[in-house]
Amino acid sequence: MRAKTGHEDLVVWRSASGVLSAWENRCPHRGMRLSHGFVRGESLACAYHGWHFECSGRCHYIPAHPELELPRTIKPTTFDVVERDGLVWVNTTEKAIPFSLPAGATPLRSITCNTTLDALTNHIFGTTKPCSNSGCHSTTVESQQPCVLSTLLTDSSHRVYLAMQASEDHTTVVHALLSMEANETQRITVSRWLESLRREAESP
Amino acid sequence: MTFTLYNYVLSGNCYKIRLLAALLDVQYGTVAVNFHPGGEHRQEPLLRLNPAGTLPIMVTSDQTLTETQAMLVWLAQHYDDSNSWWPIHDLDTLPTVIQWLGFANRLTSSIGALRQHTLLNKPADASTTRAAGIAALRELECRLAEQSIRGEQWLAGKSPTVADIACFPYTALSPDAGIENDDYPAIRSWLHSVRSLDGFITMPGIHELHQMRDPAGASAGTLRDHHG
Repeated sequence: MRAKTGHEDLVVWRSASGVLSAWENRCPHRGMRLSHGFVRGESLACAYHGWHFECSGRCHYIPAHPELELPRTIKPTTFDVVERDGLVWVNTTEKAIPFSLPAGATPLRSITCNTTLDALTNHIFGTTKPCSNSGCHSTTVESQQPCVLSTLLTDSSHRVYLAMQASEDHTTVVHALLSMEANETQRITVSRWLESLRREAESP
Repeated sequence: MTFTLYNYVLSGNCYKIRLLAALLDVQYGTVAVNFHPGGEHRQEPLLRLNPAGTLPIMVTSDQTLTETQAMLVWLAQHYDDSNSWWPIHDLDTLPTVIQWLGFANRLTSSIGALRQHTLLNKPADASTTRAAGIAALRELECRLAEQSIRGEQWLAGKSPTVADIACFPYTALSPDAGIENDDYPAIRSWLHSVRSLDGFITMPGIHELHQMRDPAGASAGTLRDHHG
């Protein structure tokens, strides 16, 4: 799948055996987005000319030249990636260090907001306008970089963790996590709360 | 002959009928209509069949249907012995199915209209249809995320219904209209579920799951072939 972080356009994919990779979203051959490609076992195949890349990034098969001995230098830029608590953490410059969420936090859903990260956090803290219907109650900044907030909701006794991912195109992806003991109804309530949070944050 | 479909290969609504017929393994006849550039659907003699001037048109032995969602119901009623695609006996699920059949018309009028505008230069208010398309995708995403919380992967009930088929094409074709589906994880997962159905067929812009290609066929460079 395609993911964006800061100014970087990424392809994040999982091989059949479960190995996770995050690369620059650009085939070294013709620049096609690799996120348009498809996973074939332990390889990612580009949709354009079918070049196969293994989990290390190395290109190991070119359909048009099946006999060719391939140089190890044919590979997209690869990034360090770590998976924890159902979230995938990528660092495009150094080693990826995941933020440690409290035990039992499980992913609820991810939604994209058409607002900047600042506008969204300002809205959650109610600094730009009263947070009328959002029902955020006592929000805490758990981490600045990466931005992770936790908020206690007024209409649910649960603490929701919001891992925020800013993109250069002024959108923000919010990954919401909720304690494992939350039941189906509570999880759906929080999902609806996220929807109204986005509606309010996006409204002029 | 079971029925005749007046068909245009690039139409998402015509594809709905071809797709469900393929999934139910129904053979039928087609009449290719020159929708673009000919505009045959807006001229006689087709207007005599369908005064609304839309496609598809389905002609059965005893009636002519011109609303896509009604055709899906007709197909399921006649050829699905399990009564799961149109769950007529499941009174908890049936209203939800009808709800999402109605919603499918909003996908057509937003994403469908914007796609025709983008690909065929048909008149449309691009910014209004785009906003309506995004609103519709968000609504669908919310429903599918909630279904996933309930442990379900389809729009209504525990198995695929005509509602999934009705909403599938224009959601899958949204990139044609310039609306990528990267921002909608529940939708992407549902699109994958539909494409995984046994008997699934493609249309231009909606390809098959490559990882499901038959390895022998793949090495010979041929795709699994289906004819609806």
